[in-house]
Amino acid sequence: MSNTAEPNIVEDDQPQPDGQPRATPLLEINDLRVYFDTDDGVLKAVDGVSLKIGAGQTLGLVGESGCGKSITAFSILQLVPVPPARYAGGEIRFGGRNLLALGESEMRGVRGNLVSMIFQEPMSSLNPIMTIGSQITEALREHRQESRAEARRLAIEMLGRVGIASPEARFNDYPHQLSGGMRQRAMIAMALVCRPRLLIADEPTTALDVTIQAQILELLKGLQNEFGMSVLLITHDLGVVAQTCERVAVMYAGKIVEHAPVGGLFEAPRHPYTRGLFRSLPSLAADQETLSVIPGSVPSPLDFPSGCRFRTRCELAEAMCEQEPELREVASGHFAACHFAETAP
Amino acid sequence: MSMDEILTVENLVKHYPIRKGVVPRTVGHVRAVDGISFSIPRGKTLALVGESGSGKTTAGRTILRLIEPTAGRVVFDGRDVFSLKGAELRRLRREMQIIFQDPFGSLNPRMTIGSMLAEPLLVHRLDLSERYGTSSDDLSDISPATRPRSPRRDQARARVEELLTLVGLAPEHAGRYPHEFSGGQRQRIGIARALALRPKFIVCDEAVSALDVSIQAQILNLLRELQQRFGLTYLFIAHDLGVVRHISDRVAVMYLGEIVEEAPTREIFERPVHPYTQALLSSIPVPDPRTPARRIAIEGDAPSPANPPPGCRFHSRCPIAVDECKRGRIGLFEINRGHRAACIRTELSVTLFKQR
Repeated sequence: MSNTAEPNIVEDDQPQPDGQPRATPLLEINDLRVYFDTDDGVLKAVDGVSLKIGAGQTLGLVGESGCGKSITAFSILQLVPVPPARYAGGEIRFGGRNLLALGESEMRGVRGNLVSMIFQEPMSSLNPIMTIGSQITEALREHRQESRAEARRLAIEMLGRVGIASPEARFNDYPHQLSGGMRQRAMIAMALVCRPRLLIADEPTTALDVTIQAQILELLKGLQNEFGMSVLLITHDLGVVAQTCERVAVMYAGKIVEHAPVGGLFEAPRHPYTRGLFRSLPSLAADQETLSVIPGSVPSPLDFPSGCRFRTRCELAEAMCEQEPELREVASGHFAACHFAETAP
Repeated sequence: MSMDEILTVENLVKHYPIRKGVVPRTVGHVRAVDGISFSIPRGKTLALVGESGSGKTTAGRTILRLIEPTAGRVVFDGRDVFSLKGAELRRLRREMQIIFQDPFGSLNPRMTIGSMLAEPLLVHRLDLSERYGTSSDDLSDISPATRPRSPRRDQARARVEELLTLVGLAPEHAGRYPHEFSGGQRQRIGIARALALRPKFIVCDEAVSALDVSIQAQILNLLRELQQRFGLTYLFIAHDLGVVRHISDRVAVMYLGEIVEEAPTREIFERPVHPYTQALLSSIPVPDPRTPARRIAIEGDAPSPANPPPGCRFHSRCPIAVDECKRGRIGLFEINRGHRAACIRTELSVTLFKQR
């Protein structure tokens, strides 16, 4: 029996003639604020984040630990526990509706159905005492009301699609019987079996070896094209971003500091934090004596500096940085939140 | 063997028995490390790279004798590591240290940083009159109140403060607990602890893998600076090849318990010869959207080290394997001066890699 209400979501599938992102983006986050009330004060994990993802597009959300990128992504599916968290403002529009306004039963019709998520650690997101097969068919039975036999057939087909050899046999395996790469494939099968419109991938390859990472990224790309879904890829690996995303948003201390097409961001990063990240990367191609570093460490989210939150670590900072810089367009489609974004070195 | 090797590893083997049944019987062995040999010159860095299950961590810990070996020989600074006992072994332990991947998991949450760093100094009865070689300027920020007043414990405290300064922390951090530090700072504490007994050799076991890139760069610079200052030798165990390229002088690539290729760093990155090394290098996503991925596809997962394929262990995933690869074990061949690889098809692999 299903107790989920299918939310009435308007589908906007008309491609634009110029190939630009569609007029109505699939996902639009406006001024999202997620705060945590702690004994030590209000922790502003996400503080005014706005994002758009067009249909079929891949957006990379990058930043270091604690910048709020995962909380932003978890908020889309209301997966941040409330309390201690609270949604302090903003909206998340998906196909014309504000997901933050949906109740729990309506959200169940979204999760795993219209929007799915895959996680970094497949072992801790798969149920260890359920077979792979029953975890995949669960979504089909719940959202699509498929019969047991049909769900089984679709699940086995999906296991084959994600590159699991002899899927009929694997269907009855438990997660511990699979290798790390296979578990990640099983999780992808589970997430995609209902053909969601948006896939949120939270560090999907961080725990994997590089040869397996390459396989999984290729698989995701293939399935994305085949199903025409959008992907929000959360990662800290700039190499993965360069190879998979069309647009990138860089987060620092709960805010987006730069938002640009991937080519523009890598060629001419405008925010000093983004430039700092690039310079800290050890190069595969050159011999460097010393790596350039961003001085200091990320400020505590309980005590962010006023104005520009990066100014305490920034080489360009001046008195005016005590005024918070707006995220503004500095080149076509390229946004940066820095007073000196035009005077980039 | 050339002039001044501080560490020489010969045919190191570590097998773990697999036991099964109500009355446990050994039914097989996990061949975690299966006959590896290499040496590291004094003051240099050898990187041991490979994917999970390749045996690189087991190798590092067995060399330190944190794990007892199954077979093989390790000579450190003229001493046979596996035959030492008692006081001699304890003395050796001072000289060989380790930095772990997870700085939080390897620090005792209930001890202050100061007592944690002082413990080895007191246990090993180190001569505390000797300094680490920091100039007096470096110590100027230690308050006179905390300078040594009475014997060992106070001397140890001064040493702890010196150590903290050395790794870029402040002397007053000595009174704090691990949870009060960020990930990068904790790794600095891990480094301070490894340095406490003034070792000659440090195994860095994925020492920067858990850190964010900007913090990783700070720690890599620190490790380099300390190496130059104290003439340290590193065995750098890692899976991030960008980091390896930056820090090491030589690289050894492991696959399923064996070394498949070993060469000077620049050589292995520019002219990899073994198909596995080539696949590994070509799998790294390049942080440049204009450079399309030119991956040499290898399919599937690595086989289990409990049941490695016969012959060349990579043949089951190798794009250019032939029947001959399945026959005997393939030893390392000299390709160039100082460049060894365990592959019988290197002419083809080199050509294919160039044409990629």
